[in-house]
Amino acid sequence: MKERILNMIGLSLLAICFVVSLGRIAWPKSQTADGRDVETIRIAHWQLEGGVREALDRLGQEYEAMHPNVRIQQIPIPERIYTNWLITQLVGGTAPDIIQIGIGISDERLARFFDPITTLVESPNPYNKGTALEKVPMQETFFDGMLGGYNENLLEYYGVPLSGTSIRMYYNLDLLRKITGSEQLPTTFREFIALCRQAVDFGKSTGRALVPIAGSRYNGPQLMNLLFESQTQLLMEELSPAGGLMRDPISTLEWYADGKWSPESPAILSGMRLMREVAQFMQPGFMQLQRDDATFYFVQGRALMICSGSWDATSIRSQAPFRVGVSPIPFPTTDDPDFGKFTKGGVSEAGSLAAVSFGLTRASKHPEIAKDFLRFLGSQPANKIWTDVSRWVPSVLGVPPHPDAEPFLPITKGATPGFALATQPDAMRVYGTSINDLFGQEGSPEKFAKSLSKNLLDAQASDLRRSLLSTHMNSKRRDTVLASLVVQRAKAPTDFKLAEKFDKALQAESLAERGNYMAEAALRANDAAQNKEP
Amino acid sequence: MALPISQKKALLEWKLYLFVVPSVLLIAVFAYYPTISAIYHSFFRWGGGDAKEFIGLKNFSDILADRVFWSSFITIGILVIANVFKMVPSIFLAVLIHRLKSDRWQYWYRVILVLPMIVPSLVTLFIWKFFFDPNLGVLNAALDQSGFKTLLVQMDQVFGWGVFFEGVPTAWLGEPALIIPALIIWGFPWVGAVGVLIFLAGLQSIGTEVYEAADLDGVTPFQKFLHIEFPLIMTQVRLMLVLLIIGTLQGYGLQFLLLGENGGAGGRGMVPGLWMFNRAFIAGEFGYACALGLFLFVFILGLTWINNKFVRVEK
Amino acid sequence: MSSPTSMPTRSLAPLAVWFLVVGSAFLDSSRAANPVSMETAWEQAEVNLFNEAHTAFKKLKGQRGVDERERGFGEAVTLLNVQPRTPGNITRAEKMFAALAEEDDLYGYLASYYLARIWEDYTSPPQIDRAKVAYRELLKKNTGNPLVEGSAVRLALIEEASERDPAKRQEVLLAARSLAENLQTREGRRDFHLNLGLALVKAGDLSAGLEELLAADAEGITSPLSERGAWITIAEAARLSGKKEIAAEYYRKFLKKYERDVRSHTLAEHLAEIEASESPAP
Repeated sequence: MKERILNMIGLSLLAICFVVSLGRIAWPKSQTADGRDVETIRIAHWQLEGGVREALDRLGQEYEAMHPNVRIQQIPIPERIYTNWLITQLVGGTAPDIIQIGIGISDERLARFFDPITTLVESPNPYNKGTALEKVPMQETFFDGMLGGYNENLLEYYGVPLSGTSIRMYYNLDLLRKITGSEQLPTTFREFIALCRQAVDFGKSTGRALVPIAGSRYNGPQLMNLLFESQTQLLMEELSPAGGLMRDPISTLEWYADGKWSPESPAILSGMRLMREVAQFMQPGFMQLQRDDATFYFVQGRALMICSGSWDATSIRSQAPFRVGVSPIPFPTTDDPDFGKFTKGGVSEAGSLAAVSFGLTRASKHPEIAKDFLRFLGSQPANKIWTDVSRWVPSVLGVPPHPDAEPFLPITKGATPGFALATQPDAMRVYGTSINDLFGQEGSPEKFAKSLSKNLLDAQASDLRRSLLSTHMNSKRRDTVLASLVVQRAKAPTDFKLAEKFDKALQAESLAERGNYMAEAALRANDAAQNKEP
Repeated sequence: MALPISQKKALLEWKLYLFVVPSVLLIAVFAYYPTISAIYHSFFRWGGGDAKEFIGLKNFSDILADRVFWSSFITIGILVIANVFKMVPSIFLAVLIHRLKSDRWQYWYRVILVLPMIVPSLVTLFIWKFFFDPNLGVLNAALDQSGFKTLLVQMDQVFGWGVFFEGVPTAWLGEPALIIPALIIWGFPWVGAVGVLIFLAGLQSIGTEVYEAADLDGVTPFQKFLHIEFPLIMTQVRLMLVLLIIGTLQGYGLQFLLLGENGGAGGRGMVPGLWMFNRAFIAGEFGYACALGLFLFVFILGLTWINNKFVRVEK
Repeated sequence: MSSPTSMPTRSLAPLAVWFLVVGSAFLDSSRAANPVSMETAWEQAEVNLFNEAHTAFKKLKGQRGVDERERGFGEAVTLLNVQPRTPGNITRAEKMFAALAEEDDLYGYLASYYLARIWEDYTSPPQIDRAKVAYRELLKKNTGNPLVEGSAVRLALIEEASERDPAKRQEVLLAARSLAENLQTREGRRDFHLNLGLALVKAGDLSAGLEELLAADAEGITSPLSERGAWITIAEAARLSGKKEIAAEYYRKFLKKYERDVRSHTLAEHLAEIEASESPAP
């Protein structure tokens, strides 16, 4: 009897503890140190680069000062595992309130797990009160019209972008002075190559292990892809007369299948030659190195320069024991003796969209507070804090960039970039696994072109097929969305906003369907071209 | 072996079975459910989220035409064979430790062997990645210092490998032709603590009278190994073989960390597991990756069956 | 000694209490019945919550005050995207649309449209000929609904795709121009002219393509992304076909409205060429 009573007490205690812990997980409540109940807004991102976490912390503190019942909790996740972590959180229903949109977020995941904020951004931002943007709809207060937070397949705004980005060359100014006697950064391609050669000679004469450019699997292609695209500018214009002057995978494949270009075309070979010319100034075997290895090389003074994005500026500056200079990528000009034939000169960055975009998850338990925090993040005062603390380029109009961010402001002068050879997974795999034929000791543009010719077309077709499945899925999704809009519009014919949304959705759908048919035609052309080959 | 109990008695003591419930639940949720889910999703076009479309056996028919997948079996085949040979140092070391006359020294050698297990394998992998660095890595430095690099350059000129050049650091993970050698070299001297301990346990079950009889017959140390020790540890060898084959076939962490998601230069390091990862997380084809996983599972099951059937242990 | 059967029964009690307590902890308060209405169902469909919308439409069946045709249409159209998407679901949706299409009202027209959509895109293999016939029949009905008038765009796309010979594609597209006669809504005409214009330009007929694109622009292209593409194509097609005035007009329009565009520099160059060729010699 006594034993039974003790067992019952034990079991009951176990049950109570279990229920209490379930409750704590299911209904968490935060409290401040002084015992006030607060609502916690969790915000996750992958930007572990210097400056971002500090900026978000500061923004969180500013917001908390205005809203004492709210606590902002930052969750930084390493980029490498971000996708895995994200999927687990979204599917498990435990996602933070606000998540950075980008890596690992397909259209389908966006549609399923994120709340569109279109209604939010169509109205003026209350946090812009007292500024010139006070009466301007939030979407028009960003330098790119907030296209960085817009999804053209789902026709909704999903994210508030905080920053502009660009790619630049970083220089070790102290070392530059030792090599050249001045801190003048190269402004033309020939000056750039001459400087690289000077660095090599300097290394040899001083016995110092020095490479001109720190390369890696991450940094090397950033520079070389941009240089390559400068060589396909004219080719792209020739291939698409009266076209939209924009590169797209459908046209690229169609032109390839039609024989209008191949990896052995003169412009493409020129691009590869340019890549090899620059790659020789990177450390041997750089394609096996990671991003951190290249940064390590640079900050340790083993390399004169490194190519990276504006997002690395704060990290590099804080780690480097020397002064860091920044300059744009030096593209070959039209009068360059070796590379001027196929280029139109510098590449415009006018098309760059605002990045570091944060979206609202449907799993958020405090959607109104989260939306308000997003409004705050997208406001002029908040963006000023962002650029001042992170030293990243601001995204909101009228916000003066921090002096450290000024070199990274997008350069809007310049010609349209040409097309790249590989932008999708399978094409990038073929490209990446063959790149040794270009950069290797016995590599050459012709060898690289030959190995690409074997598999690149198939890979591009495979990517387009996969992309077509996704765009078909989007079209099917839009079918139901359009049905919803047309019925709602019929019931509320004077609802202007609904009419506008329906109109845009209709337009987008017709053009998207056109894209689907063109993609299918390009794939058929590719299949036909393959069958013709002996 | 436990004595059977009557059904009536089993029902009477039904409450005891509740103690098994938590473990069963955990296994069901974390082992069986993911497997069943993978089998289910292998019949769908699935992007990893909620949207999925039933496509029947299409994923499986796509596998048949997947050149990258089939060529990855060549790489994994080479690695499996290499790993079988890499068992030899562990056996050799186990025999050496076993033959030490001093128990105290045997103990200390076991401790020395086990201590590195504290270091997570991920750390070891990163250290090896650093070893392979063409400019700062220990491997290239050692080859240069020892003069072995010159020999390799000369051999390269004779055989036409095109990977070793005088004055040019060797890119062990950047040259297609060196990827597989690098994956084989990894882990040198290939003495795995777990393997050594398993073999040692097997060796220690051999009675001393066997050795005494062998000494009386004038058997040499090598003959002792060949005719006494090796046959008597075949159970452990078979176990290690199964674990090795399964581990190598399934594994891709090594290749992913050293070479990236595309298998490195020339895709030479692509193995079936890495291709499954690539299709899921790079291409977003989760349904197809599930089908690949299922195929791999059936393949490994088949190999295990063959191993069990043909690698017999004489009792 | 207690009997074997009574012991388990008595000791079940605390266990039962335990399971009840644990089980109640899993009760999600949000699962308490939310009132379902047609408005919420359509709103859920609008934001891609198709499973939820479909469930809502099904729950509304037989409820007082609910338009059964609207509800039926909602159930069918959300079924197209309920996950997982299976051939069985599509077949069920097809039957529901077929039943709705028997009447000539908004839902009848929409149902006919979605039937054609199913034959065009959802069945494997696609039943293109059947879809074509359905789209043609719909256009003849002059529904005055912009979504339904999208049938004209689809027909033009299908005709274009059906003609494998690039040399003959122009003819096919020019023949498709007659489809515009059935279009009553601004949106319907705009989308048709825009798509046909882009297709004609791609096929090499710059003049006809330009005509169509100008007609689309006259109707009003409201999406900035579409407008950019259309204006550039108009300007470039006009320039290449010698219509310099139109080209210059559209280059200026584009550069004024979309100054910050990656193509602005190239377009400015082309405008400068035109202006240089038109300025009198010194």
